[in-house]
Amino acid sequence: MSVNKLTGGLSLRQLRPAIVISTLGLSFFAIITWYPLVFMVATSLKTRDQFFQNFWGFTYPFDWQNYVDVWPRAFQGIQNSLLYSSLTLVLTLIFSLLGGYAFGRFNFAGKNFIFLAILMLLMVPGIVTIVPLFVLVRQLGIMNSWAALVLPWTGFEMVFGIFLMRLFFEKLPHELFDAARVEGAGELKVLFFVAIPLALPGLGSVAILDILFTWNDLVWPLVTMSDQANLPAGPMAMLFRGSENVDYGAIFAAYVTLSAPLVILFTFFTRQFLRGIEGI
Amino acid sequence: MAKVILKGIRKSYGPIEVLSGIDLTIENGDFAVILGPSGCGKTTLLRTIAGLETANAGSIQIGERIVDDIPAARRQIGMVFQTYALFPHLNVYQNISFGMRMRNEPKDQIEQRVQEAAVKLKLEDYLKRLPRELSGGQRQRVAIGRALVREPEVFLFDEPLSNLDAELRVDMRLELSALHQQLKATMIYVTHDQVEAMTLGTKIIVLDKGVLQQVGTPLEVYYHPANKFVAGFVGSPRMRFIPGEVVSNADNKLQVRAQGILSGDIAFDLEGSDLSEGDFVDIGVRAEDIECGQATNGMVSFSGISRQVENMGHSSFWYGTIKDTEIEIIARLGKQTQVKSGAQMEFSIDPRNLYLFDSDGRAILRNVDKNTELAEHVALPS
Repeated sequence: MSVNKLTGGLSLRQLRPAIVISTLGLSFFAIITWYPLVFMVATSLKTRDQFFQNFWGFTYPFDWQNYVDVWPRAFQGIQNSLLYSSLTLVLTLIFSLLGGYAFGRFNFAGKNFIFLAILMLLMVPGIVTIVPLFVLVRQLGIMNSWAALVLPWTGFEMVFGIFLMRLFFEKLPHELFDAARVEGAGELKVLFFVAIPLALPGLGSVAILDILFTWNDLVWPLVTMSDQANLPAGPMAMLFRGSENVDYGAIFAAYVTLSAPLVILFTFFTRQFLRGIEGI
Repeated sequence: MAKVILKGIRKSYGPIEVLSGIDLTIENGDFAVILGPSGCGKTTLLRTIAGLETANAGSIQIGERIVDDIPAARRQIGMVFQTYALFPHLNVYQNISFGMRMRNEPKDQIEQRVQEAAVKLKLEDYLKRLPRELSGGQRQRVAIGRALVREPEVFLFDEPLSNLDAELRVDMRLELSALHQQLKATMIYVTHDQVEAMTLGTKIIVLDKGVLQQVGTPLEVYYHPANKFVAGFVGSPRMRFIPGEVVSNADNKLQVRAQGILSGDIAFDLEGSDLSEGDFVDIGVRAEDIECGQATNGMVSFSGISRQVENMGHSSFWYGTIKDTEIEIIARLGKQTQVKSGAQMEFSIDPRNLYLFDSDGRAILRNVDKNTELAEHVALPS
């Protein structure tokens, strides 16, 4: 498809080098993108011996024992992540929705200043806030609990969420809200019966970005969760590394298992995600 | 159904004054059309009545209530927006019933009213459809239905026909007119289209730059414009103006000399006027009052140099200038006419059909029997 598009208006003579170059280029990037995933799956199905026999490709027979071995812990990680991520998700959605709605629909004193202040948070790399955040979380006495992850994550994610939802609400025709008000809906009813239903694609995008972030965050959980049993999926994968006797098959089986929920989720919701982004 | 009274409504956005002191009474059952060019403040005025904008000063009364502190949701109005503003995620039934559901009215009553409105607006077969699956005219009717079922005290329309194609616009105009007669409701309708204003309104409110120019019946506004702006804005094609100068004013007779007029000074019957010799005036001429051919006695005559002719089928419009001047004139010619560009034509006008404005643009009242004059104009061809 891309080849057709690229060469759409070109003559035969120009066509060949164009096809060759674009095919080579795209193939190169396709391999870079996909091979690590193939490698991950292939390695997860190898015994130690098989791993050293054939490093790059699949080996037969597949060794499923790795999955059986890592399942208890991986499952623990997935459960933890489901809890932390869904709590963060709910909070992020609520704050993004309300914040974005306020900024997108109303005028109030200091609106631009406050929005700018929020937007500035987007410019600060997350990594530089780790130390102050760590101090804060310890002061609050919530280390090693769900709150140590959920609250900072929500604070971090809702910044972009508010930004996205503001753009989304600003694009909705004002007359829709006027019509709802004229029809007798108070502000709360306007929010529930008009704004939220229309904002669903936007909220979908915020949700997906949020889940991606919370599921994959590695550093912060390692900093705050001293009890390994409480670790979410991402850092849990690190535990399979072991100190000696590295069992690559098991490590990669854990990686596959821990990333499976996201892969499945995205397979079903990519469309929703795109719709939200396009809606802006 | 209710009367709407506006007192001294002012509204500004920053330093820009959009409405400068509007006083207006719209009677119960009026179809009041607010007419004016883009940016004259007419939509702002409507939105202020709706409660979607807050006036900086003044007061609004709907029915027996002063509504200044009552939010839009509780003003008992039904509004149809220019873009229809149908809720895209709700089907026709849900859109029409939206207001009733918001006010938690009983289900069977909602059902009954929506069905009645659907029959009235020919929407019975579309109740389950989403707005995007409807044509422009159908969406328009859904928007009207949504305003209708609430049985509001006042209907507000914000240029509701401007997004429809020409043919549909005529149909909807007739339907709206019929709806008004059927409901006998107070309706306030904003438009920049003077044909809509003339055909729909029982009362026309002409607005320019946030200032009321004239309030009157369509025929009053057309035949007795209060000023040059109204005269020029109402009527298609627009009224043209010939500059003139007062030669004398005595015994209720005003003599005006105008460039390019062959029949000599024009005499106007006036009842008291402070115009005096040397004052500048504008003489207004409507296309349909101009007759083609040599002047008979008592008629005002001039020669015109043709520029072009638009054939409309039932008549044609001649565009050109008065000979030896730059004054633009439009004349309606009864039949199909072929005129070469640059050709000279002879025209005449009954002086009673001329309009007169002073140098500030105010209309000068003339001593003409308005009833006969109106009768002549509106007489149907036998």
